[in-house]
Amino acid sequence: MKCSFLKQTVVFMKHYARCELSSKERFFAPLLFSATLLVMFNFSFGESIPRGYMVNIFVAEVFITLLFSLQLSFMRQFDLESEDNAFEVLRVSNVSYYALFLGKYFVSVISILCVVLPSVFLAWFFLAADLVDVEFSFYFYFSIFAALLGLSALGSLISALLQKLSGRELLYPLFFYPLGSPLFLLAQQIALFALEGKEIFSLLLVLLGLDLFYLVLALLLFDEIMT
Amino acid sequence: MKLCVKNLSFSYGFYSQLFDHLSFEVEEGECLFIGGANGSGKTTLLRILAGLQDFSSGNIHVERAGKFFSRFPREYLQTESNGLFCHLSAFQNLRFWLDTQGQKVNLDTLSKEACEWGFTNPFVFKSLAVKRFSTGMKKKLSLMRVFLSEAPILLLDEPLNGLDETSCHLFFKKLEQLKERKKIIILSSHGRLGLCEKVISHKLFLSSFEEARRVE
Amino acid sequence: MMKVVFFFFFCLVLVWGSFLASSQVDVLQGEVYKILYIHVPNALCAFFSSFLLFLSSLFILLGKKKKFLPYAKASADIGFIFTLLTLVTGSIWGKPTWGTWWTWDARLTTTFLLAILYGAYHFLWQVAETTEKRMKICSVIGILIFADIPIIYKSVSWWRTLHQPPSLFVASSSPMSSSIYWPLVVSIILTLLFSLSLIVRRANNLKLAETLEEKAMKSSFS
Repeated sequence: MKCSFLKQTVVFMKHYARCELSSKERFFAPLLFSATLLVMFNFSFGESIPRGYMVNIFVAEVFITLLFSLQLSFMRQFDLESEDNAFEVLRVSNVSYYALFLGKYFVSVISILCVVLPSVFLAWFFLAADLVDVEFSFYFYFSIFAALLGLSALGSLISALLQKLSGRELLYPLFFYPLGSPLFLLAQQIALFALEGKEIFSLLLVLLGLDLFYLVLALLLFDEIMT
Repeated sequence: MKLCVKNLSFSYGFYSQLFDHLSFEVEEGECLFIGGANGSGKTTLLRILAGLQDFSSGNIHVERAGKFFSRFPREYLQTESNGLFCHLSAFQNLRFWLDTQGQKVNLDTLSKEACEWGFTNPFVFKSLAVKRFSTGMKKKLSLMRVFLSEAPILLLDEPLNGLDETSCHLFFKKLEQLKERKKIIILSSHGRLGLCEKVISHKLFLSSFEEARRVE
Repeated sequence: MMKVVFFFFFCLVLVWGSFLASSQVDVLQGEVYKILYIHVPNALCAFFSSFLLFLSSLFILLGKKKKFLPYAKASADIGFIFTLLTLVTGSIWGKPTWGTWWTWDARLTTTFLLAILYGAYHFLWQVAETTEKRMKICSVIGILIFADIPIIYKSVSWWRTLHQPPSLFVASSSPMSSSIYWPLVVSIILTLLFSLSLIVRRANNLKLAETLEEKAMKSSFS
């Protein structure tokens, strides 16, 4: 009856991937929200954005949009388990909580990338006319992806923690934004430097180090939450 | 193998001493029925046995070949929910729970089992999302999950809720089969003792604010 | 315990008063540098409180020791006050020094976020009404809050910032003159002791409140 750790992780990954594909509103809702935010930002800034600030505004727009839409996605991470109290069955069964968290984590990174990439494309499209001389570097996208790695761990952990509390909708942003802000700040800095052609390798290492730190912390604390 | 509960006590704060120094044993192949009025602590006792709730004092362990185990594999059927992923189909739900236990999923066996429980339409079983199921269908699916598990201890809280007469008969037939497979079964109900008489080995009645008494 | 709190407070007032009244003046900043003796200890106490919150949370989560719950809550409450004092005194120091009350400098930003986290912890405490929920949820959040502290401290090294680089705990000799350094160390020690006494006092109050509530519940149901 024993299932190895790796096999259980794969089982959870397949399961959560099936869950994501079967409830498509979990993908479309944050994406539509991103699009709405981008439209509002562009209306607010108007037509006359000084060329010198274009890159800064583009990066700020991307990250602020992601900040809000990711919060929507992460807050609902464990809704599937809460709907019919599958959480309790998971706690009773002989499953590895590390495998559960890792399965959830990997699927959430991939599914949220599917929200992030169209959002970044939309942000670029709305400013496209004025961005013809801005290079799109690999490191710009990599900074966003690296931020996602840490934020997914943190977002999933906080979602599991606050699942059964009545003030969840208020509490979640109060913890997610401050705790996730170092990742956002660092990723935003790297993205800006990447577009400006500055050196970013050391900052990237710091960001990846923070991601690893948050992932390990989230794994350890998730085990404590479930037991 | 036997499940031993010794001197178990539990209270909700100061206003509800549910049970005090409760002791019982259930051997493999036996079925213990826990009865009592609403609020007497049946669900709480099962949740404690499932490991979902702490208790004030006492000891719960499994004795096997002279050794004692405080941690043991078990399955738990909840009373008010079913532990299902509502956007997935019945088959996908069962496959997930069996996969996590390392059990091989044989589609033919599952389909046969599903037909016995009334899921005769392959579309309903394999493709329809569970959120579209009725209360009884969800309960039957949940029972399938518990009965297919290889865990030696089954904890069933109000398993007959939402079941029609045919399903009740099937339920008792399955319980007999599980007893023959040497499972330890503990089930609770606030009534319907008459229906359970044939399969139960022992009865335990919980009364609010009084020490639980064991009735043979 | 109240006597201990008053004693340390009295010592602090004496020490601060003597530093503020001293005739020494900084070449560049003038008299305003003296707020250093209040601002830096407050900042360290804010960090120290989060460390105590982390320790209590660890004991609660791993050791299942319920008795540390009041200490966790007290650490968060006192830490919140010291973080606010840090931000206020920092702004007062910043205006004549940097020409602005506030800037989105990395250390200021993350200290402000720490204040938000302490406030959110207090809100979480109210929402998680039962002891079991507090033991699990609040202690995990307490550990996460402490995880933010090294990032605040290292932010001066990682990001370009207006803030003073670390001058207290550096490997090489401190760029601070000894006539400022040692009084600052005295101020820090006294403020830490004062904050510790406040935390213990607050924890005792919380324990007393809980005991009174238990007795009231017991008598109403007996």
